Amino acid sequence: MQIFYRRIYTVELNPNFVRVVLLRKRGKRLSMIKSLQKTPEKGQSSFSMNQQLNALRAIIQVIPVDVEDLVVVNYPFDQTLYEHYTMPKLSKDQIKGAIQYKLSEDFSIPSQNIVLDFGEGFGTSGTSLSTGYFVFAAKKAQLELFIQSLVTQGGLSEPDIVMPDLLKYLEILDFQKMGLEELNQATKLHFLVCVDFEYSILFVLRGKEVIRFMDIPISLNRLIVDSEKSGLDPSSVLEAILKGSETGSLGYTQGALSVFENFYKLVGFESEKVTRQYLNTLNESDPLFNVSGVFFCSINQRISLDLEANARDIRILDGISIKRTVIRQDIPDDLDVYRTTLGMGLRGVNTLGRSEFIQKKKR
Amino acid sequence: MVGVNLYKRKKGKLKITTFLLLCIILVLPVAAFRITLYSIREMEVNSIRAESPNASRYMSATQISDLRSASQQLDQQSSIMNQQIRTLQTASRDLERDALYQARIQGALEGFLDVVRSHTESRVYINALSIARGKELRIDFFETASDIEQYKPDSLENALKQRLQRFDVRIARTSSESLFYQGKYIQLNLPLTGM
Repeated sequence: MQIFYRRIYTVELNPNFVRVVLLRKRGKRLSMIKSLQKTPEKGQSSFSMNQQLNALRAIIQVIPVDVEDLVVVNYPFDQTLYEHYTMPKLSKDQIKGAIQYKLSEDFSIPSQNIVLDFGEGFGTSGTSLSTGYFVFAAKKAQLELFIQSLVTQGGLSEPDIVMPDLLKYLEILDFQKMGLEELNQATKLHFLVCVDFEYSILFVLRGKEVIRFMDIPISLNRLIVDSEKSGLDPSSVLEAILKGSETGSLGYTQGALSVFENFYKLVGFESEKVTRQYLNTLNESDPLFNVSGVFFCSINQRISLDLEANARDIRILDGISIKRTVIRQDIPDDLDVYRTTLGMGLRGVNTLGRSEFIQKKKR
Repeated sequence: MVGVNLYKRKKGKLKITTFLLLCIILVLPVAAFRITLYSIREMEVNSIRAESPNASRYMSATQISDLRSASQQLDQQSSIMNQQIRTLQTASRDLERDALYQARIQGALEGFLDVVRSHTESRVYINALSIARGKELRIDFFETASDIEQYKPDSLENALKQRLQRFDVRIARTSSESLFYQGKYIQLNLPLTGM
């Protein structure tokens, strides 16, 4: 009976791990009740979809899902279409129709075969702001198959929220503490580089508002593949990355230091390439003048700090200021390793109302 | 942030136990209100019973839907009560008048007899005594001397006048000529109008 509290059952499915985090929201107080993670067997670094679903079923046997739970699931990055459209002011239905039409034109998919949702945001025309829409879409058949597999094979109840995987980072970051101003006060841009297992994404921020997403062609999987090529056990590299704190010792004890350094450098270069690609669209004589700094964020604080330090070393964007990402202050330090899943959970929590973690105070 | 959800088809589900508990929670304030009202009513009724034990015999619960008939019943009871009060007031006034009447007659007769007994030099022969309620008490009597030497002709008459002064008695000597020696015939009238 979830009358005086609600549970948020968050499932993060990923070729590298399957993780469930169970949150409980009682009034404005939020706490993590249980969490469990399954990774591929020793010697392997990735799951097939079937293996992911079997791992999920195994987790659900340990952490049962209740029919009244608010279930949040991530939708795989490689199956998500995302686009940014600038449109005139129209009613929501008209906008939806127009976006469906644009998507079907851009991606050659009939509009009836697309499931989409969009958030109102801001576009840029040069440096001036205009009304824009972040559109996230999926093929209807693929989405339905995904959900059906989760329910039948994975044993999960029908999800309440299926969120595009790349949005999970935006939920955990504390833009206030990161020194980002309100949109109308912001004069310069910030870049936020988020590096995940399957993808990396560049968020272009004006103040606290995201004004553009861009794909960076590198991910943590590259690190695992490179480590494997260097003779390292991919499962131990995956474990070290997931734990974060283990990456240093893995680098020194197993000679993976150069692999890690090389990967961080690659992330820096690729990020710089994409940011410059965006800056070129601004059509300004000194576009870097409009950039205040770059943030790096990844699956845990350790990787984030390493990426940040490397970017500072290689002086990306002509030595532009590299700033530190700050995650929500109420998230306890020991839950940092679950930050991506917590980000998804917080998306679910936000639909129920604002709340803060109380675990830190308890300890 | 960007609150995007690609799957919006799910309908919220509730367990039957949650549903029942929610129903109980919803009904609880209504039940509490009714219990409070019932308690207040009982307290009021008990206080009325304690203050007016007689009234409690006629007290009964009335449905709100029967308020009109209950009001009519109350009016009817009220008129019956008023009628009874009027009857009692009339009876009380009658009793009071009877008591005054009795006291006036008794006082006058006792006064008359006391005076007659105290005047031993006279002899009194009552010829007629009549009481007509609402009109008068009338005593017709002869007075004769029993002791010629002591006898004073106006003594008894004056004594009666003095004694019965407060009753507003009229005493009239009709004639001194009589069958008796030195006797007189006296008529005593005690007005009883309005009694």
